[in-house]
Amino acid sequence: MRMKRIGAMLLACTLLGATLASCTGAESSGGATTAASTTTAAAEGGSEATPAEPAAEGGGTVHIWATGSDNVRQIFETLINEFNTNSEYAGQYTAVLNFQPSGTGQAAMTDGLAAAYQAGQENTEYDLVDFSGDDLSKIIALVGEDSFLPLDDTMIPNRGNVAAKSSVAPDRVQPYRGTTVILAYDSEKVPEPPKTLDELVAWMEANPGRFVYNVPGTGGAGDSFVRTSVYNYLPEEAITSADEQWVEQWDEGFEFLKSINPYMYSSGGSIVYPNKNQGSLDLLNQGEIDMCPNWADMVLSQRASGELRESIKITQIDPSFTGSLQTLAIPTIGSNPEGAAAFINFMITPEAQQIMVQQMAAIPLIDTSSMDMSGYEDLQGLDVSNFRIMSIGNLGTTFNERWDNEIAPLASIPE
Amino acid sequence: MSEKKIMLELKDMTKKYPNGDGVEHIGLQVNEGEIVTLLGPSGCGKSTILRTVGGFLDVTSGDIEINGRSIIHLPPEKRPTAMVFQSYNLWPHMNVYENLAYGLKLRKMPAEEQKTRITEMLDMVGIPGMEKKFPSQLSGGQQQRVAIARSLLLKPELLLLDEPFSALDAKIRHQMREELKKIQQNLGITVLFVTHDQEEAMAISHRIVVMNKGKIDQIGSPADIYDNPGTLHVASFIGEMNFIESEGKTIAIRPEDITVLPEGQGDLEGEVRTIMLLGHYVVLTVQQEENVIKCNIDRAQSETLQVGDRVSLKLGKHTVFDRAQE
Amino acid sequence: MSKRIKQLVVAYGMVLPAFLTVMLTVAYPIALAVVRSFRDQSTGAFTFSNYTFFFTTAAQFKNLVYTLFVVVMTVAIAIFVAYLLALYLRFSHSRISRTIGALYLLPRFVPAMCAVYAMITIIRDSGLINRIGLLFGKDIHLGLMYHAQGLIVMNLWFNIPFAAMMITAGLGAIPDSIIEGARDVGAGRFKVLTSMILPLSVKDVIIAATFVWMTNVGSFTTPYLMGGNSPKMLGIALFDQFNKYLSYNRAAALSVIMFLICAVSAGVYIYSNLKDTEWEMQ
Repeated sequence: MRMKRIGAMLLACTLLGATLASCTGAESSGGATTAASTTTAAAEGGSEATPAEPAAEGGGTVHIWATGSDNVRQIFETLINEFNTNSEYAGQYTAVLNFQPSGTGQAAMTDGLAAAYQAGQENTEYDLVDFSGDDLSKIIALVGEDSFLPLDDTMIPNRGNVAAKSSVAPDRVQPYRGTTVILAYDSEKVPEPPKTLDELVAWMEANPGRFVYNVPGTGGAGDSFVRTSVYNYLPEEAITSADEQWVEQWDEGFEFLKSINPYMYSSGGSIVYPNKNQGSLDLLNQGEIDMCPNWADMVLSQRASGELRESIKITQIDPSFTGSLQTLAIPTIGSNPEGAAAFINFMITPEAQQIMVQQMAAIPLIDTSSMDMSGYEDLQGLDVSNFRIMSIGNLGTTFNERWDNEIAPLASIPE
Repeated sequence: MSEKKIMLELKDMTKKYPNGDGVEHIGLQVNEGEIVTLLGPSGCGKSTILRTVGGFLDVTSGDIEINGRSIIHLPPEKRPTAMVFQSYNLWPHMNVYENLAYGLKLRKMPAEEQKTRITEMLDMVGIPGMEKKFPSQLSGGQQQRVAIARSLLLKPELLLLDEPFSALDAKIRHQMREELKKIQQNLGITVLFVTHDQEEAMAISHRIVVMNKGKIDQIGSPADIYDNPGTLHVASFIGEMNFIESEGKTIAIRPEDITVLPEGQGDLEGEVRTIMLLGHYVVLTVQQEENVIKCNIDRAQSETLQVGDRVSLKLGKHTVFDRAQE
Repeated sequence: MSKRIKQLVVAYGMVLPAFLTVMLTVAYPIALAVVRSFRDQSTGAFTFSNYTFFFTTAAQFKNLVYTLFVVVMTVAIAIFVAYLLALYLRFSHSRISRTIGALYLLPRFVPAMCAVYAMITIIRDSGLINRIGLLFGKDIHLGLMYHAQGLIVMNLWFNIPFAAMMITAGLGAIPDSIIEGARDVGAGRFKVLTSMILPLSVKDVIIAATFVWMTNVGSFTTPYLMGGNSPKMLGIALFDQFNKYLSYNRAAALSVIMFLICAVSAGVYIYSNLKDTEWEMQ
């Protein structure tokens, strides 16, 4: 009896301790992420950035660096295979993928590259690097524009076909695909979707409970919706600035978010904002709402795979939500600039663009008239030259906290 | 006995368990003021009968009456019986007083009266002043006294005891038997008692019901059962018994009913195997053909005998069974 | 003598790895968290503000009250239902009770994520129940998703089997003869329950309640997938602090607050043991 009791008490204490330990454990690991990954990345950069072997006959090997989720790895593998076997460069160059899955230390690739620059290495395997908008801003901030080769039409003949320009280092990076937050809607319920933000607000007021955006900080679609809503009241340059001064000007935008709160999705008698992009998309697919902001590629690829109903369509409103361009850049410390340029040129051919459309619902950056867009016709309506790119740096944290404090409580259950 | 009132009557009662075990066609009458013991080896069904009377088991068929009234449809708490269990089963979270008062409270007895009766009862069962103790602070014998007191306080028409003393050590057990018998005499209460201990049954009972494999073998007074066992099983179960195989028959005879005589003077011839002194008497074993026969003799006679001596046995009171019977 | 030393070395040698693991993975982080919780994040100076934040900020205080509400309801309902279930398993010997007895622990083996998603597809406003309702022309909106009631329903799924398991073990330790004794002296079923079974199993109930309480105070998966935006369970509020707002010191303070809430139940449990009823003394 007594032993049993002591045992139970010990167990209770252990559980108690574990509760706290797990809280703090998670917390400290959260805090340590950046520092830890920097060191490992630096180490990796140092060891991997050994001088490339002398170029083989023809053009040699092109090392391509990319990071992201698994669909990014898949698309690169498909495209590299296509480049090596079927493109005009087949036999001339051999592309090899160096992929770092995201989530294992998100900044690993850019940090590794930056470390290689800072160590003064040359002739490394960083022949060609794939950047998201955020990663590009970050690497440019770390190592400067000059660390990448200027690109021109002689190196990359197809470059002229691409209208989209990166907002950062436009002459040194090549955009090759885009994605943007759009308005996803159920065409059965909303035959004529709104074209402007004002029309959208009018529709919300007329159809309370049928629209929602996901909680900012849990997915980019919700982030984009609330940030553009607020930054629509601010000068154009604010959207790409991390300057604290803009924080003071958020009030009007937050008042707007408060004013539309009553028309959001409600369940059980109170307003509810779902977590994650997928959360609002599920509500749309289940017919609990008729419209929500979401990522174009996410909606279209899920629709193509049958996860979403056919009646779910996408549209862009004016002023538009934010999007991002995926770019390729050739580091000056690479060892095969010709091969890298060839790969870039390949990526903006109709063949490669079509693969990206069909496989990941990416927005193509070239004229689509010669491409098979079946199933993805919605993409053609999206004007990539009109992309709003947002980068407000650490203000994002402050922004989300303010949303949590001012908007989320409005949704609370009246108790 | 015939003028006595019948308190409990089991009429062709059968209780079958799903696995086929149980008791069959039990007919039994217990008179007012009588102690009747159900005796038998474990698994013979004696506890089953007690539990059907107490209301803890349903009967499959037949009837049970108390004072002429059928009780088989009453739950335990509505039956005029009280049961004392083998494991004492006092309620561990209540002290002695609370254990005793529990049933009285349920009967809405005034607190003052409860107190008087409990004090008296503790005196009667020989553990005065134990009110504040918890069961875990009592010895086994004390616990069983409390358990008996708890049952008696409710003035049941019939007291059921399920091997109440089997968990106690020998000395306490003898003491408790005597006290139970004394209390029973004082109160004139009717008792149905279950035990597997034939000595206990002999000591305590007015009548004994010997059971075997779910059936009643024999009902009778202790002397009756001892002297005239109705079956081979009864004969073997009650007291010491020699079974002598002879010409297809089995002769059952108790060691004290055999007289040991010089060779040629008795009924059976044999040779002394062992001589054991057991206090005031001696147990002699004699090899007679296949049989080993136990005889009780006095010490004086034992001194005239030695192992290996040829002796003759004279059979006194005995019973003869057909071998085919068992 | 040397044999004794050998035995000591072996004994301590066997305890040491567990001891070190506990010190390293439990005691050390706890100490770090407590120290951190009293420091200002930017200056490192001693402060109580990390704590006062959670009690003076309306939204944060609401989270606290909300968490307590969900946890108290979960504990109360889970224990009540588990007790009924345990009573049934203990005292019914029917085929149904044996079947339930064999199956009732199964939910514990379903991965939390799967269970939560499965529950969502059933109870969401457009879920299975709604669809079944539509077949009969009724548009049922349970309104459970994103609300405390939904969280409680999900918590019950996880905790009833667990609590029932502990209580069933406790009830199993009560011999039949105790109940029969009570029936014999005239107690009806209800009286047997209140005067015998409840007092004899109250400790197991307290243990079960303690564990249900502790595991639910810090729950994350369920409120993350099923909870609303405001108020939030403390587990999510904690996640926000370190993951969204990068406020590690506040997160540490909230950890300590959650620890103390858990400690309430541990306190109740230890008190109930120390108070030690006389009858258990051997």
